[in-house]
Amino acid sequence: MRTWITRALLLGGIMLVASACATSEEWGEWGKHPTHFASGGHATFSVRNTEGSAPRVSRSEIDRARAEEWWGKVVTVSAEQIIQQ
Amino acid sequence: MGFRSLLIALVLLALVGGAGYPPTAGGAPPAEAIIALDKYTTEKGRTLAATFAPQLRQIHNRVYHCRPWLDVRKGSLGFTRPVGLPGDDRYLNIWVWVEQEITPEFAGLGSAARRASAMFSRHGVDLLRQLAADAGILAHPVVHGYSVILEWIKPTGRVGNEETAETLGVFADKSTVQAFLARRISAAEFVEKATIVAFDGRERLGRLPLEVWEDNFATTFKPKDYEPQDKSVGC
Repeated sequence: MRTWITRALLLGGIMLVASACATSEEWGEWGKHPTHFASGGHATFSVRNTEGSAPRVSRSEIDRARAEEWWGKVVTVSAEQIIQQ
Repeated sequence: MGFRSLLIALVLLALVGGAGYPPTAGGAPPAEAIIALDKYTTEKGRTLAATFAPQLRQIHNRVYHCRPWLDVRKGSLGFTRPVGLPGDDRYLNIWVWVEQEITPEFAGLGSAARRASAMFSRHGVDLLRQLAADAGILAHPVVHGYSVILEWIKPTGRVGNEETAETLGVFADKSTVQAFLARRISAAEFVEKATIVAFDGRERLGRLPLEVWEDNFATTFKPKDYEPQDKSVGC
């Protein structure tokens, strides 16, 4: 029983990693344009857009993808330096 | 830890990590992007925001769904006034983070003025057009003008683990914006009449000699396979 569970989990993990890698080429395509998004891989996008179906990317997926490779800390101006509410 | 346990742990880690949550970047939802009524410091601003609340949501929706390379900054969409100007003139303002790759072409622009010009030409004019699209706001006598603030990563601005952002703010009265968008005045005249502020990180720069040129990126570029979730906005 334990062997079966281990194998199933291993298989699931391999499939997930493989599907995530498969889309890096698609996301990399965006890099050819002057504007693109930071992420090179996105699991949710990969799982949903399986082979044979028309790929779709939503705004919330873009947000998640950006979050994966966010810049970290950015030194920038505070709102109060430019506008007052 | 045995081999099996380690294997299970690794697989579970892959499964959990793959979800990519919680997001730390991305556009603020409308409730956060639009300035809350209780944040306004004068009745004038608050009344405008209450009057045009549906329009503010619509502007946010359009930018969020139709310009996925832009993130509206939290608490930035509303009727603000520029710091340093006397009085309480209210500008319909939007402040966005521009998500982009730093290409050799962009880095090669060389100066803050050229980069700001490129960003304003590409994104600023388009946003001004979106702000000025609502006839009700345009006609309202209390609304003084429109303002667009753009923020992006500065090429070669990385210090240690920190990136530096460059920020450009452009404020102009309604008639100037209208005339510019309708091509009744030149880009140079628009720039001359506008209030321009720029920052390198937190450091204020002098008035940049902004140039504005034609750039149809915003209206022609569509990320590969991207589909707006909200079809009603009509991108």
